[in-house]
Amino acid sequence: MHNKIKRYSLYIILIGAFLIQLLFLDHIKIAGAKPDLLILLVVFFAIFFGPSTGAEAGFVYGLLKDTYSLDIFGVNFLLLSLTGLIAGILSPKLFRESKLTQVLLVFASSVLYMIVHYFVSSFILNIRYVTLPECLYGLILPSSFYTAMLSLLLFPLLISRYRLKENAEYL
Amino acid sequence: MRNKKKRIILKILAAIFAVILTVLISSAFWSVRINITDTSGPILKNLHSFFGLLVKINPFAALEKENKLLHDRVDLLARMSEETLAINDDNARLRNLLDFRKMIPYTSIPAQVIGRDPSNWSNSLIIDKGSSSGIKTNMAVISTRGLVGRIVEAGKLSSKALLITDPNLKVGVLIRRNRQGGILTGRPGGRCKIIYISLDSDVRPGDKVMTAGFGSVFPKGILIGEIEKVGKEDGRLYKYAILKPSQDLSMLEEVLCIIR
Repeated sequence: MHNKIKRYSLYIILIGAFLIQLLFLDHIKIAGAKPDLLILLVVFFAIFFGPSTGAEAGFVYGLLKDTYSLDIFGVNFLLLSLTGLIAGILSPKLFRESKLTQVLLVFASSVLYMIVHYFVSSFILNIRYVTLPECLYGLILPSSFYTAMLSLLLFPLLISRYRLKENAEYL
Repeated sequence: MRNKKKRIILKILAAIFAVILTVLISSAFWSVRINITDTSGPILKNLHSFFGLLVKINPFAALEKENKLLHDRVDLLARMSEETLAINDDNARLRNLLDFRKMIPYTSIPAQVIGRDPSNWSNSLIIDKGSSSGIKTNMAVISTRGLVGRIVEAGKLSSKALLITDPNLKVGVLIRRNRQGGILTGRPGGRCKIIYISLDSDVRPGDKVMTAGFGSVFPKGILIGEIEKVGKEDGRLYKYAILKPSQDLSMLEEVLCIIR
């Protein structure tokens, strides 16, 4: 059984996080990698509010990402929706209250999302000069690691914001 | 239980349908996309200034907290001094940009960076000038320290520039020391890769690289960066080099768009 979230609360946090991603996160790049706040939140909503909310958050974030970036239109909203859906379906089968599970789920979701993104982009845009190992070691792993570490900081804040610990169903 | 499974299958089918629809009509979204960016341009500009301010006063805020109880008055003066310094910095930077603008042999349009790519995959900037200021697609974008990228989408009030660190951008380049050519493309991690360097080339780390001016987008002789590493890929008949751009592209605040 998953918790319920009010729509306005979901959208306020989604838009706020998107603006931070768009305007601020480049300032905290380490070795060319920046954390992906959007995937972190998609996984959070999927874990604690279920696959439907996860997919909805993924859809909204993906659409915003597609609009403001120069990426292939549609790739992000599709992949982020699927990420939210899959993370939401998988989370009840895992011990989601554990911090390690949460961090690993964020890391795995980020890695898979970016690998699939790499293949879709390579196929559609015919990028031949950047190989998968280059992407994996230069971007995917550092950025996913960074995102997973950020989840250690943000998940407790979000859990207390939504008072998930007080919810008996969560415990 | 059955209903739940049905709903999940329906969602997956909807996602597959969305992919097909997206691939079919993605080109139609280009104009919609730039119009949305355009409309939100002024809001982004203000928010960007606000975030810029937050970044600037962050170390100062820490100082203020530390001394708050004992040095209220000193804090006030220190803040004023800090703000003056920040204004001086801005002034020096803008003066530098103005001097540089006078120095380069091209006509250019100065623009402010108001947003960055939210995606990790592509590298782009949103600038506060659009077609109403004379910006057109395929204009080269430079900064005081070298090449930045090119305009890919130009709206009325804002535009998007693809950076040299994006794998979709290709630039014809020359190595300054030995005048040998290659093609520069973006690479993950804020670096670029030069391919098609001939096998007998004596290219080495530290060599400066500039635009070759072969195509119609980038003028000749704009500095791009410095070679960091040289290598040869298996099964290819050319060398490659990894290039470090002459500036940190994630920290850019102002750029110049070249009118050729």
